[in-house]
Amino acid sequence: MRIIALVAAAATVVVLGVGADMARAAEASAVECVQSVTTWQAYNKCAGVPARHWDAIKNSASKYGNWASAGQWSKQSSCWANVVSFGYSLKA
Amino acid sequence: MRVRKRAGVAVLLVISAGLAGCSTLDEKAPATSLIPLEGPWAAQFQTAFAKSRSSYEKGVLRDGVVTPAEYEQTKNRLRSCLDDSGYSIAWDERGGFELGSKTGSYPDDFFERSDPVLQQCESEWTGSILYLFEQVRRNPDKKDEAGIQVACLASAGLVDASYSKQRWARDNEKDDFPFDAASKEAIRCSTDPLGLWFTE
Repeated sequence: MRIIALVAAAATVVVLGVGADMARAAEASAVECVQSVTTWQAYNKCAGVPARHWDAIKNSASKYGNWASAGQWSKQSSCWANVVSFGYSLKA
Repeated sequence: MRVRKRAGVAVLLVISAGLAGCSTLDEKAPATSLIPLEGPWAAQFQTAFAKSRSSYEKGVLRDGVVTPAEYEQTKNRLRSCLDDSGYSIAWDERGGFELGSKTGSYPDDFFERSDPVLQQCESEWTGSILYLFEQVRRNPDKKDEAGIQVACLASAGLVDASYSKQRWARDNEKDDFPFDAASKEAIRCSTDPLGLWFTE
């Protein structure tokens, strides 16, 4: 599934969840900046592309980590139960 | 948990138009000239200003400083924008937050519905404001991250004098440290290595 933005916005990357292919080379490059994505955290390797981890949780509020710049981890404040999908967003 | 059977990741470019009643987005193309700023974070402010399409964000970033008052005001604007669409937000001191439903209803596609609204509100009201405030707050002089981490960890008694910046950089990338990274002291060093603001 791919949804095209009418107004440029951050890309949201779903690690476990509905599948799709890469949208554009630019996004693909940015995607490669974020590594070691788990239900709890994600590591941002690249400068200039802040990344933020998220958890979608069954029957509950979504949880977002801190924005992480190069060499930083975006982490959840707790290890949440009932995570149905997780991933990270890249700042536009 | 939904599990994909094939390798790879998915990218959703989030639709942002027409989701909320906010109206600060500039229709003009992003400015290409750099605002005149000096200081360790000047380049980050200049880049954020140049990329911004929000008149509110530009107004805050223009002087190269995000004050605590502007930080709180920006959070309030984001909260108000989300509130207009039926969502609530509760921040964690370390920078994360919860995005909830004001009605208490959480359909299976809650994230897919709410995340685009969040990103739309953020593009109009927060942009890089909260991110830059938090980055500057934890390291105002933009000191070498490895250096301040090692100093903090040593001061906390988590590593000894033989623990180098290079070793920290390797361990950090792997998230594999020779101490309990979930300990209160380790979290404090990661969050606020210079001991400037974190109170937990």
